[in-house]
Amino acid sequence: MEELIVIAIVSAAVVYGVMVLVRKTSSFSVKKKCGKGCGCDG
Amino acid sequence: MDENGHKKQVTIALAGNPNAGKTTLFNSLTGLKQKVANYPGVTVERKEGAWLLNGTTAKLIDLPGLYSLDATSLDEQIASGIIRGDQPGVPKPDAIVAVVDATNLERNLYLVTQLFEFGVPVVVALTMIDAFERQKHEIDVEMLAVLLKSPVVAVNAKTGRGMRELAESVRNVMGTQPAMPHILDEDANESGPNGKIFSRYKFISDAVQESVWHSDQKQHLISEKIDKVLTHKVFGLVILVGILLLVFQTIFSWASLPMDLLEMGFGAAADFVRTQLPPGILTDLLADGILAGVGGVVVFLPQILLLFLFISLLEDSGYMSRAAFLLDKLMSGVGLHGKAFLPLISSFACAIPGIMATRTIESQRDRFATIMIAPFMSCSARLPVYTLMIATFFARQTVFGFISLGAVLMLAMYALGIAVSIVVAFILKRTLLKAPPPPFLMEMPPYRMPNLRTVIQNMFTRAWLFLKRAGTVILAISIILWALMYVPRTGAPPYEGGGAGPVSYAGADGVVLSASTGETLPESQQLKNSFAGKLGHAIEPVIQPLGFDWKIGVALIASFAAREVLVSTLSIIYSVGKDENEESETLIGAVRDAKTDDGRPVWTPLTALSLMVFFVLAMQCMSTLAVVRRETNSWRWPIFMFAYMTAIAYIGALITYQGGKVLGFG
Repeated sequence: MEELIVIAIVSAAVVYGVMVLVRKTSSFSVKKKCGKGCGCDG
Repeated sequence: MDENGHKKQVTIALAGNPNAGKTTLFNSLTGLKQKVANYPGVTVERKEGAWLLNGTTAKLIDLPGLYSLDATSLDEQIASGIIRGDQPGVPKPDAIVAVVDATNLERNLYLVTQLFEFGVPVVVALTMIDAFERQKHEIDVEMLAVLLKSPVVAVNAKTGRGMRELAESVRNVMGTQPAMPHILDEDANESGPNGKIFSRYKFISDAVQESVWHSDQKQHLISEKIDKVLTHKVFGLVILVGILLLVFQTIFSWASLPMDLLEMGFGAAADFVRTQLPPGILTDLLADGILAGVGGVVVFLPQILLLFLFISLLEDSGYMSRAAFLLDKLMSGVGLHGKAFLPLISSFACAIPGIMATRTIESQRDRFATIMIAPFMSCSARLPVYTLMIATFFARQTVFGFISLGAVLMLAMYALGIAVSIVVAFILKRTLLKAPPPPFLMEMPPYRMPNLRTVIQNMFTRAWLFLKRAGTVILAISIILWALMYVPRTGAPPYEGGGAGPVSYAGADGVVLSASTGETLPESQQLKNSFAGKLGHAIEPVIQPLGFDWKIGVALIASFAAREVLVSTLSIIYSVGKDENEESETLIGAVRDAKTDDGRPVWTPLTALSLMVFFVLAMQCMSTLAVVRRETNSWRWPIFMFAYMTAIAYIGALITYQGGKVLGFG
């Protein structure tokens, strides 16, 4: 039981770490979209 | 009449600083008769309207909001093109209405002095005059007009004050040859002590002094006197160094008690966990991983709070601008843009907002050069590392009997970052990012009493960010690192030839009972045999010349995620690897007592210095690299930044350690 809790905590930390990494890198692929009322010239 | 005998339409240009009330005046003069388009090929907005000028209709062109006509930004290029008559599709104006915000007279008049140099008649429309008068200041409009050798009209678009006089003045100046109010050496450079910029500001300063009366005139004079000392090239620097030394010394002395209390608190919490929970892997994770890791970083909270208290006080009082002015001389000497200051100053808190603030720099080369050096400014994440090293090896030592050695070292680390950034900027601006720096002027805010509310708010915002980071990213990294230091648990001979064996559990007494052999292994051996231990040993040959052992190596690798992780990792390493005969309760004690296999101390003051130098110069922040990627829109720059900074850090630490040994400090 104890090992399972520890494995769950460590896995959660790994998942959180990966999520932070993905979130930081995913902002690179966000393209600025031009639309009505967005304030840009397009 | 034009050359074909047709009656030429009168064109008037409306120029002024952003937020000077130009649009309000334009709307008031033209009513609803406006045409909005873009200048050909660019996204700069072109606004035109018809202005009834005492019987005739003139075309009124609203120029983009400008601070100067130095033609560095697109707006400035277009505006100067229009005034010269070079802008396609726009006739050369017959007169210019210069909109001047009376509450920011000196800054606004700079553009006006440049407008005079184009040989087009200028009429000054003084806006915000009501707000100016409400501030208990008085302006002698007639005197200003005499000094500027051009009509000056106080206007208020909302009440209609001065609108008729403005139209009349414009009609009167049309077709006249304007007189230059100030003498300008045509052969002089733009910048420099004898340059055109200096001449224009000298004239403005004299003109404002003659025509404006401040109710706080006495305070202004005192401010000027203080500035003469604080921005003096010798005394100013001495005072800056003195203030920084005092700040660091105060941080060390004031923070020591709350830091000790926090350290005791986390120690008690770990003891509580150990006594209340049965010995086992979960207890180890909570005590050695989470509490040691997060606690190791959180104990530095008092120092972070104090650092930001002083930064806010210096900023709010107006002193920071004077410090920036002093350093500007150094920075512009190597070719950096004056606007690089704000980003670089912000980087002392964190490089990320600093790098984002470089967006104000128009030239891409200047902007990239600033981005490339911003991480050399010692950010708050480095503070725990510096403090740990100083508190462990240099505490209670003084220089000249009264200056704390810790404060001197801290100042030296900040200065090293600035010095290396100047050298790097010098090289970059002459190689990869070659471009002449445009001239820049800095406005000095008046000295004032810091606002306590702003100071406290700023302090707690930074503290909250620090705690949030400790509770999320640092916590996750601490747990992962603890796991990497804890497994594999094996009873086989450690490290050499040791493979993963069946897992067994560590007891509270710090020994491991191996399920496979029934033999016990000291925790230090177990740590050596862990995944993290193997990684540390793998890089040990590379970092040994810097004075670092494999345990520091593990912490060093982990700190590339975030700098303060070094402290939490060392805290976990010395908790996980603590054998039953070891007594050090605090991280400082553990670092001081750490021994190599042959019984020599791992850490010496020279090792600590080498590590601090490495941390000043290395690029150890994933978030910063991600922001650099976003801001430069390329992977090349963050990769280049990581590579060159790590190389400089390695060389810097190598010189420190090996040089120190040669000099007999080892």
